[in-house]
Amino acid sequence: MTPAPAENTVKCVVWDLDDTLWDGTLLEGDELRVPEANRTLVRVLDEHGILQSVASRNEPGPAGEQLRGFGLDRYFLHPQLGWSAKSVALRTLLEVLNIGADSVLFVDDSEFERAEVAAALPEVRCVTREELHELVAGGRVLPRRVTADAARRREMYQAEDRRRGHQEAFQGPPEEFLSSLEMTLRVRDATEDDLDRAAELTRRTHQLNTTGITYDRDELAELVQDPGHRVMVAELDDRFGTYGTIGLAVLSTGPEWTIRLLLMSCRVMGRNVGTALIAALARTAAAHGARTVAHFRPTDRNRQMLVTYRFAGFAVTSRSEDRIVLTLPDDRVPVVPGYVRLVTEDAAAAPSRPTQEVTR
Amino acid sequence: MTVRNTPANDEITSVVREFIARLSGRPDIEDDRPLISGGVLDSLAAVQMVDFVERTFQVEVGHEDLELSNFDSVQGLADLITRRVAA
Repeated sequence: MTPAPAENTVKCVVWDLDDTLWDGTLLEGDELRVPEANRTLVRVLDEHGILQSVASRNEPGPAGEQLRGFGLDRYFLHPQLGWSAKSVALRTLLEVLNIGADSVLFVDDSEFERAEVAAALPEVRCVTREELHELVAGGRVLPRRVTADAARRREMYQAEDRRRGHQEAFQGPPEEFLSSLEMTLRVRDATEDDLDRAAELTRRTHQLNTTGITYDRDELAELVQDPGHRVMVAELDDRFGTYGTIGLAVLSTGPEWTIRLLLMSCRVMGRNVGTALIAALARTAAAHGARTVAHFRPTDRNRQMLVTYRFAGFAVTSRSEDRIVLTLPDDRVPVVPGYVRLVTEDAAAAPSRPTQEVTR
Repeated sequence: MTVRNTPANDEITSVVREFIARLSGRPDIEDDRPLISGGVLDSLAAVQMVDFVERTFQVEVGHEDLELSNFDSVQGLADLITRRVAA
């Protein structure tokens, strides 16, 4: 077997329908059949966090109905069914899914369609379904490690679409909108399974990031084991589904707990859950008899996080050229906003049990 | 609307009023109405307010100014700008 490249980069597979996903041609009234191998592949790709869509020249109505009939419609995001060129369909998908052309595999039995896409979008890899099956079997498509967030990536896209629809239709002030989402923020100690996602967050998050320190998986694993540190992650859910793991905090512990890094994914931009996350950390520190201190390193993009600390009651206690140190005064308890339910799990608390708190 | 007797410069207050009306999409906000704590604006708006103050009035907003009270009403923001412009 050819060795797999260091990192498989396929994020999305776009399927043609006639004689590709299924055998037969819908318009010609053929009896259509989805080969079992295709059905399995669709499921496997989905479970590995690879997004899938459809680009087919067909009437949208009957083609969509057919996908539903096969029980496969839920796997495909924003199906492109119609009469425009496939390169147009692909461009639309790149935009709505916000992914790069070089991360897309386009599968079509027609040499003409593959050539049309390849000419318009040279970075898109165009293959037949036989080639797709070979690539997957050869270890060239699936990621080697699948984080919990990746495994539910498609569901998160679908939740986000429903959420956006709700937001666009919503009339009223921001706080009512936030209340209408029925958010739950869960803050807990990171486990082995969280570390890939946590490391990824430190590399990718710039705006809602207090210090910009990056950690790789091994460094985080050491900190998780180190009694002088706590690594905590935050997950956010709302009535539309999960946002996944969206927050990370790295603290050094002792008489003072120092938040060396606090970040939140831009997925939750505008959800105003930063205060709740800070409150969870400060309350955990207080439960261990410690005061909460925070570091902040200003960049041209992260002022929001300084505002969040300051509005939560932190005062600046010292500053140097490139670092501000903030301390939460002993009499200040950060308030959890009424629109988010906070669940904090402190693994080091004895006996170990989650403290559920309804907002106050 | 009654115009209160305030330390803030009238001209500054009216520029702030106009900005908050644009930001919130509501033209009728009283000068003392709590904006962030009252749920009219979210706290992301605070960063937009800081940018607005710095751009429009050519003053710097420091970390010591980032108190909720300075950003929670038209009045508070106008007072902050007045202090900064005078400084």
